[in-house]
Order: sequence, then structure tokens, then C-alpha cells
Amino acid sequence: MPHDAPLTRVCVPFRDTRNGRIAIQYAGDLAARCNVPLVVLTHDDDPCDDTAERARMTRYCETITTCPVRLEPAYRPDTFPAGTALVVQPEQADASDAMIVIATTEPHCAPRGNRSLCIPLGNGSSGIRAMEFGIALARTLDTDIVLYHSTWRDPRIHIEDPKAHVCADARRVIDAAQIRLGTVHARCALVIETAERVAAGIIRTALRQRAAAIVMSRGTHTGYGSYVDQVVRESPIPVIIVPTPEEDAS
Amino acid sequence: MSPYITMTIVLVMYVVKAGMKLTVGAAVDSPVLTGDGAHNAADFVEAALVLFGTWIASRPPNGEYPFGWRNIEHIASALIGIGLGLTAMHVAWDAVVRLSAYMAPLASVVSLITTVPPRAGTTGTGSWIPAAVAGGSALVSVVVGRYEVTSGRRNGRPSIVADGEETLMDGGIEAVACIGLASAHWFGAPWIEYPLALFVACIMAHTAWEIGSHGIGGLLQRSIGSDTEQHMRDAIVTIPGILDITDLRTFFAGGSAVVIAKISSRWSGDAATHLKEVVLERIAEVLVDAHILEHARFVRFVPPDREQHRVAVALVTHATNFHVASTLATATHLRICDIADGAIERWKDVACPERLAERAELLAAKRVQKCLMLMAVTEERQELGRHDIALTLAPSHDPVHLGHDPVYLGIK
Repeated sequence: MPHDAPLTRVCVPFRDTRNGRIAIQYAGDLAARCNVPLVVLTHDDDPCDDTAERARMTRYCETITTCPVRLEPAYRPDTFPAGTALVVQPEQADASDAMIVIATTEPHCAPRGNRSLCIPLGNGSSGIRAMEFGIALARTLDTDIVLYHSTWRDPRIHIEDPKAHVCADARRVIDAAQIRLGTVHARCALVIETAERVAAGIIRTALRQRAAAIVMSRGTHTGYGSYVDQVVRESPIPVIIVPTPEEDAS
Repeated sequence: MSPYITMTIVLVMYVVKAGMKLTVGAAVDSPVLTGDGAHNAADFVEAALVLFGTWIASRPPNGEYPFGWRNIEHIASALIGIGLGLTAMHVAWDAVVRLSAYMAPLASVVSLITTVPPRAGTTGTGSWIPAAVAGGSALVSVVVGRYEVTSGRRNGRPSIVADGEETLMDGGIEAVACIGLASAHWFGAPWIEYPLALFVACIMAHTAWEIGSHGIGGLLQRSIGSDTEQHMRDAIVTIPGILDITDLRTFFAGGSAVVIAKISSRWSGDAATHLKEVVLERIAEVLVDAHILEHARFVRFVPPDREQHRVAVALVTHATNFHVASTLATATHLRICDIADGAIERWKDVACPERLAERAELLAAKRVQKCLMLMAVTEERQELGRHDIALTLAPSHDPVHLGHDPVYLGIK
């Protein structure tokens, strides 16, 4: 496995429902593209001991994805290695997860031919964190990156171009991101606008840019109304939530 | 390129042309010129009507006419097309009749319908002025006609485009008349004009058909084109969250395209608002690519069919422990689940009757479509089949894996 591989494994809960099957399909597609194991999480420990149950569940998964499946007992984040991604339905994207969480209602990683990764940048380190993961994932999936920033309009600046209204902190983050993308020779575009709502701007830009996923990381200072939660709630495009390191979260 | 300025230029052109042809034609005794001058006088009236129609079409929409008055342009186009077609027939027939004076077999046919006129004079006419006036008029018609067509297209005015095409055809007729007059004056061969007139009449007829069919199509609200509609569909279905385009209707209101789309999506609220915004943008992109710059787009989102049905799960219960039964016979309870949008909306447990047949009848009474269990026994499959209930193998013995919320099962 290359040292900058974005993922080490892809996990998904076993659910025989329409959305559950979509999540398994997406997880299988992602695992295949990233060349990592696909682990289907069972509700309890039984499948590990019950051969017949394991066979039933494995057979079921094989009707949904061609990726080889491994069954493991219920979700225990402390046993999962770094780089584990958990694919869930949007309403199950837990704020406190310590692993990469992917909220999706689409069954494929490149839904309907859409390929790029949309990475919103703010004025903090969360955008850089998301971008580092996005770079690794974009290289694995051979796709482009779209950086997005929405800024408040400064009434003292009488210039229509939104770039003129970007605050100093955000400008430093954007510049650092562009430099970083330049060093890794990643194909990227930059969109800056003054959206009425940040979450709406992120989602609409991702839709316009034909993004396959939105990559975000939670900010460490937001007490309520996280943009990540808003985007997960409103986005028809899969959202990849990169975990916040414990030292940053505290 | 204001449409009003364009039509004013056209009106001035017709006043000058008609005045010059009538004056010069009378002075040199040229019936071709005076006839064409009268034709230009009629064209002046037509251009005035087009100008009036343009003004009416510019009025904004209101409650009584939500798409405005633009369709009056289609009426004008249809009438111009019909008029041009009749003119083409007249020019063609006139050319055939005059040509028959030089062709005996043709004369024998024409004489059955009308009197064959004498041949035009073979000696040169006294003046080159009629040919010069006709040639100059043809040149002006071509220049102004091209300008009118370009202006009409840029402003989305089909009636001005139609009138411009008609002006160009007039230029063709005038060019033919110029050739005829010149050949009569310099070569003593006026008959050259008649085959050329037939050729121009064919072009006029084709143009008349295009203009007229476009105008009538607009009045009948013909779609903007199946290719454009397909491009629209292709652009919309690539948007994540869109399930299908259940209805797409397009038509022209004047030069403006109207697109009405009904789109199926499971998303609602803010998410649907985002999707709708992008759908409108994609439709606009397709229309601009098809050179349709003026358009009105109406998009409505509808949820998909809920696919509501009932499923039963054969369960074995031991105190607080539930698991899916191996067979229908070993089940202690039947969990009747209402499924909608692929998820369990409601479930209710009922105790199993003693006999297999009674269990199947119970499921049928509950309108269950399929029953889940771990194994398929032939006898049970047949018994359920009598009531059109499918026996389906469950992928797991744990109800949580089948989508049952562990909270409601009393499981941590």
C-alpha cells in the first residue's frame, strides 16, 4: 500500500434496506477503486461463529458488489486502524466519529459520470485537513479538485469581484492550499463567491462543477450549526467527513 | 439593432423603391417597373403590419396572457409565408405563360387555360434606365433584407426574420427583372428573364414553406426540437439526486422558448432548492448552445412513487430475544411490516396460528406480498404461492440486519 494512500479499509453496516444496499454498493465501489478491503459490519458477534449466517450474509453482499467482502462484528472504533472509512446514510453520520465518515445516497463513487472532488476552505485548519485527504483521494481516483470559498461581502470594498472581499486569514489558507496543490501537480480549480448561505454555496458549486464528493472536516471552534452538518443534511452528493485530530479537538 | 429602427429602415426603403419605380416606369413606359412598384407598395403595407405586430409582441405578460403577446409573431410569419407562396406561384405561372410564346409544345398546353401572349419585342428598348432601376433596387433589397434577417434573429423576432426573407426574395425577382430588361435592351432577347424567374420562384416557394411552417408550428406550440430536448434530459439526469424527468414540454412563445419540466427526486426542502437551481442552469446552458437566447424555464419537483407494500418476517421469540425463523412452521410470530420508499414505516407482531394453511391465510388477509425466513421448504412455498405470496430467503437471522431499528427491539 502506498504511504500516501487515503484509505486502509472501507467499512459499511449490513442493512437489507434500499438505502442500506446503496451504502454497500458505494462502499464496494470505493474499496475496489482504492484497492483496499471492504468490511461489512454486523450488528453483533454471531456471524463470526455461525457459518451458515456468515454464508447468507456474504452471499447477499455478493449480489450487490463484486468487491470481496469480509464480515466483522459490530462497530468498535477503537479496534479500527487509521484510514478506516465508514460509509453510512446521511442521517447516520455521527458528529463524534473518529474515523472518516462518508454520507451517501448515491451507489457509485463517480455518480453519473461526475468525477471531481469539491473541497471547501474556510479561514481555519479544517479546510487544509480536508484538502490533504482530498489530494490523496484524488490521486488514487485520478480526478480533479475544486477548491471553494464563500466570503462575507465587506461593505467598505466597492469591488464586485468576491476575491477582493476574502479576509486575510482565509486568503492565507487559500494561498497555502494552492501552493500545496501546485507541489503535488494536482489538477485544480478555485471558486470564490459571496454565497447567501455557505452550505448552499458549497452544494451548488459542487453540483455545478460535477463533483463526485464533497470533502470536509469539522472546525474546532464552531459550537453550533457546523457547516459539515448542514451540508450532510442538504447534499445529494456524497459527503466525506475527515476526522479532527484529538489534539485539535481538545 | 432595435427592431423598431430596423422596420423603419424597411418602410423607408419601400417608400423610395415604390416611388422611384412608379415614377420612372411611367416616364419610360415600362410595365415591368410600374408593376414592381405596385408590388413594393403592397410590401410597405406588410412591413407596417409587421412593425405593428412587433409593438404588440413587446407588451409585457399579465395575468390574462402569462406568456405575453409574442405568439402574434407566429401569426405574422404564417401569413407572410402564405403570401410568399402565392407570389411564388404567380411568378412561376407568369414565367411559364410568357415562355410558352417561344415554345410551341408548351403553348399548346398553356392555351388550354389562358391566352398565350405575343412575344416581347426583339428589338432593343429605348432606354437602359428600367434595367438600372431594377438592378439598383435588387441590390438595396439584398442589403436591407440581410440586415432585417440578422436584426430579427438577434432580437428573437420571427416576424421580422420572415419579412427579411421575403425582402431577399423580392431582391431575387428584381434581379431577374433587371436581367430581362437588360437582355431586351442590349441583346434583343427578353426571353432570358423567364427561366430565371422560374428558378427564383422555386427558391421563393421553398422559403415560403419554411417561413409558413415555422409560423404555423409556433401557433400549434410545436416543441423546440427533439434533439434539444434530449440534450436537456441528458444534462439533467447526470445531477445526483435526480431520479427521472417524468414530463418535459417545450414550445416557442414568439422568439422565446418555454420549458416546463417535472422532475422526480426523493430530496425535498433545502436540498430540492439546490437541485432546482442547478437544473435551471443546465437547461439554460442547453438552450444557449442551441442559439435560443430568450427563454422561460419552469421546473417542479415531485416525489417518486412510494412503492408501498407489505412484507412479513417469520420470527422466533424467546423472552426478549428475537431472530428470524428458519421456516414458517417454526415461527412463533409474524412481523407484518409496512414498507414505503424502501424502508420500514411501521410494523406489528401477530401470533402465529397453529396450522400452516391458517398462517398463509393470515398473511393473505394482511395483504402481505412476501414472507421472509431463513430456509425455503417446498410445502410452505406452495402454500404461500396459493395466495400469491412469495417466500423470500432472509439474508440474516438478525432483524436489525433487515432494517429493524434496535431501539424498538429493546436491544442496545
